[in-house]
Amino acid sequence: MTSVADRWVPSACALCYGSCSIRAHVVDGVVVKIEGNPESAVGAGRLCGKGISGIMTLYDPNRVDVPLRRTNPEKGFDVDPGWQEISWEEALDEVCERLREVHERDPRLLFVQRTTTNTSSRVPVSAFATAFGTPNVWVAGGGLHCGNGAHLVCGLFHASWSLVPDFQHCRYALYFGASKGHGAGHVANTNIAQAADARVRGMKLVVVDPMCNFAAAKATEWVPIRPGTDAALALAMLNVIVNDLGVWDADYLARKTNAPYLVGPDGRYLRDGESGRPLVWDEGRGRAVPFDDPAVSAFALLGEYEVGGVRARPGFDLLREHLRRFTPAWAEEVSSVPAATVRRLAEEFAAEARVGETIELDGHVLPYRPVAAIFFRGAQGHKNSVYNCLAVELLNQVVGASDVVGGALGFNPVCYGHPETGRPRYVPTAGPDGLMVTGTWVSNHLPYPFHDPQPPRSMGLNELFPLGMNSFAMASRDQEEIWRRFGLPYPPAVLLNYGANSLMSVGNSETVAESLKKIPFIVSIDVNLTELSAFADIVLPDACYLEGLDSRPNAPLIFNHPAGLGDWSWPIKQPVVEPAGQRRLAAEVLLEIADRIGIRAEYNAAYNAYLNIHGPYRLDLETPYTYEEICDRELKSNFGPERGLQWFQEHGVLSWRKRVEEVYWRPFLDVRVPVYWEFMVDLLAKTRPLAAQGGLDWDDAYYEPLPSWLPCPSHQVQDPAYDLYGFYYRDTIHTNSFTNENPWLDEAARLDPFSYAIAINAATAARKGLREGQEVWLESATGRRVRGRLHLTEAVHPEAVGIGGCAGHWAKTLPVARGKGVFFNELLEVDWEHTSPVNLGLDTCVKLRVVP
Amino acid sequence: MRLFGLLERLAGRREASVEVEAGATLLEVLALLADACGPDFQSAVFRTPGEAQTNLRLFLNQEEASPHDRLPPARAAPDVRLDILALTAFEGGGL
Repeated sequence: MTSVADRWVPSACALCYGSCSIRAHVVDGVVVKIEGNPESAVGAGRLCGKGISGIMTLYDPNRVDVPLRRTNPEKGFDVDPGWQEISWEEALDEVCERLREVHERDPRLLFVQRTTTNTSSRVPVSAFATAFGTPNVWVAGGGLHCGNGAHLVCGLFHASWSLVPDFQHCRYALYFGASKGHGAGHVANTNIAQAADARVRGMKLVVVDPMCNFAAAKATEWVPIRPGTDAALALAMLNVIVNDLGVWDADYLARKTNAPYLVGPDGRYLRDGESGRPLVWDEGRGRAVPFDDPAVSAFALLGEYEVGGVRARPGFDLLREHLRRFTPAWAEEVSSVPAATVRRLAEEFAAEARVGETIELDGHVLPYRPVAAIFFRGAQGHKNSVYNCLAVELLNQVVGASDVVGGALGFNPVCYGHPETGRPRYVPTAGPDGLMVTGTWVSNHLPYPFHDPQPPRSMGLNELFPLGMNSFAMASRDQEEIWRRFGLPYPPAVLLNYGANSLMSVGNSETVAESLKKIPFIVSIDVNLTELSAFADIVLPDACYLEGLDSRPNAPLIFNHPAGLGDWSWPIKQPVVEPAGQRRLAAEVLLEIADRIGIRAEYNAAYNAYLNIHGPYRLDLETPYTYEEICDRELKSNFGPERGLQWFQEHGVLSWRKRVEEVYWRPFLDVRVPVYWEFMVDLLAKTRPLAAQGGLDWDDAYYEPLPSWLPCPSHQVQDPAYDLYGFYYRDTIHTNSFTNENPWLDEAARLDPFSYAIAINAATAARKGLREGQEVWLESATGRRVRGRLHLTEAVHPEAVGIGGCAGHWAKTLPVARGKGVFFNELLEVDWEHTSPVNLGLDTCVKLRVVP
Repeated sequence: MRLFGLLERLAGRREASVEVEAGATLLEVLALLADACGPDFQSAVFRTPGEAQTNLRLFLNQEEASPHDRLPPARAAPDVRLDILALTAFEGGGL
């Protein structure tokens, strides 16, 4: 029998951004167990080791419980901040005085940084920055490592944040540096179950990766690849598929992409004189017409045509010719993948694509393309990330395996809402030139359409780089010089940090520390005192996720919700127990700060916009709502007056069935995606001169309409002593640098031979005279060093060393995490040289040597 | 019009008004406003000439509106209030 003192509370996990739905067992006010919530599609009743260990984060005796003020003005790695406990009143007085002064002087001088681990920080923090008037927001290295390329390409092609195979129908999945269904992160637990079911059903899984770890270990085949060379393999496969095998989905390319758009000698579309629309060649009528002319009977994809005296070719014809240079032999040289393997993978992918086949689902006859090429962190964590991800994505596009049955699925870019309210609702639409505009998004700007490159105003130079998301310049070695050249008013005067630890999450700590020291006042909202907290002037104690509230822990649904057929689920996060000590929910603290500095109207307006609150539930701009009231209004706005916060606190989650036209939406929507990036021609012409004004070194090669493989700085190191590629992988046991302090996860990591070690190929180690367990230094070509213990294995590329990131804490306030594992990011340079001039992606691979 | 956050700062004012014909689009209203508020405001509001930035949010008499929406007839709504803000980062919602 269950009494009031013995209850199960539905909520959401936050030990990674997967935010799986949970149920917490509370006995006499104490959480004794956490398990997955089977009533939610998000996690589907499963929970990983991290989720179960949340009890240890909640009851961690080393958590920060009271506001703290720094008494030592000196800041540095081995400097004691001299923390003094103060009251909330004192802390907020001091913080608000600083914020008021900055708001009066220039709101851009507020720099806002938040963690990616806890997704509940997104709206409160982003809306606060919007209300304050600063464009300077980032996620402390997120994007540089994990998404500036991958999310951009997923957004352009799938209107979604990430990709998975259609686990329910896919027959051949090809992963490039991805672990969807085998690791942590987006929709982790549901994907794990679906990936396992797919393998039992017979789906072949081929994993291209420098390391045979979470995905490759469970795959049909592991294809070891030299780090950062994914584009070379993908382009050679495309060449085989298109030019040798002659396989492509002509109908898909003609109607769902810009492949038939006619391109002139200048690389730009030919356009209709009246409407300005791109032209296609209608083979039926033998003339050029606008792409959306409903009378087109046969789009030309190949050939050359004369239009108004100009010779032009369809984009696909240019792609086909462009691919010829990428032979399997060339790809072998670049990537180390044998030419025969390249050819075989291409043949398997093309054959399994079953171009032309259909399948009937729910009365709809739909394209059936049961292959998927998936990319993520491994392919994207490089200076050349855009072309890596684009080249892999073109595999899906050429055979039409994109958001159709069996193919590569974006996570839920189409949602027609709950049957009773029609909300939330978002659907991709056709934008300029017929190209797809996402229905919703999660970052600084939409993937398309871009804004014109402009002289930069923000710390990250984002106005100058329309394809960029998070920027190196928020914490780079050369940031001050770059700001000076562009005449920008930085460094910032105040850093508001929510839960991030940028000293570990960006690159080498020396560079990041120098950037932090330039900021006169840092306030950090933290669960534990981290390396970053030690640079703060004020620390505010945060409620952890089991003490917290959020009306949308999984929204938007393109970020964290299972793909494929099944249920939609909208869970909430709610306090399982009340915050202990003087901890307060950050969202409430930010509301109080907004009131104190006089920006409540702005904050309410921003909340209305971010949460898309409508009708009678919209926040009145002058009313001081609590965060509970805001959550209640968002839920009622989406699901009706009967389903407010109280209903969700009782039920935990609202679910309804997905429709076929939401999951396999591509045939139902009249939108096209860009296999030929014509927009790069204009972007280059406009960006290059502005970049020159800021003295940024430049390389036009990053702005081509069709992808190539470009070497990163790590590929260009000439000194033969630096003979290994260092890379890190996301350990499923840990999330970013946050979970290392959790004792259960630390114990699991210590039992795992890889988690805290440097994985090196056994033959390579033997050649170097290195032995299992040996302590060594890894030294980069720029002289940066980290120390760690070797683990010899067959499961890593012979030219590479793999490190589980992000470990190697040094803060005394993290006694469990301190001194465990290897701090890989210490080897990374953070500067323009290591940054992509097109999407601001950082090279997170490094050439190094082992020093015994 | 009320301007929020960064736009208030770039425009140098919290409130602004323009005179337009009833039935004008909000894009036309924005163009007039941008002409009066300088190039930094202009580039924060327009992603390219004649096209609003995708992070711009417009609220016409409290309801979210598109740049292509038109002002109501003068008789129906003699006083129209337009709230404008630029999101620092996107998150959810209909676009």
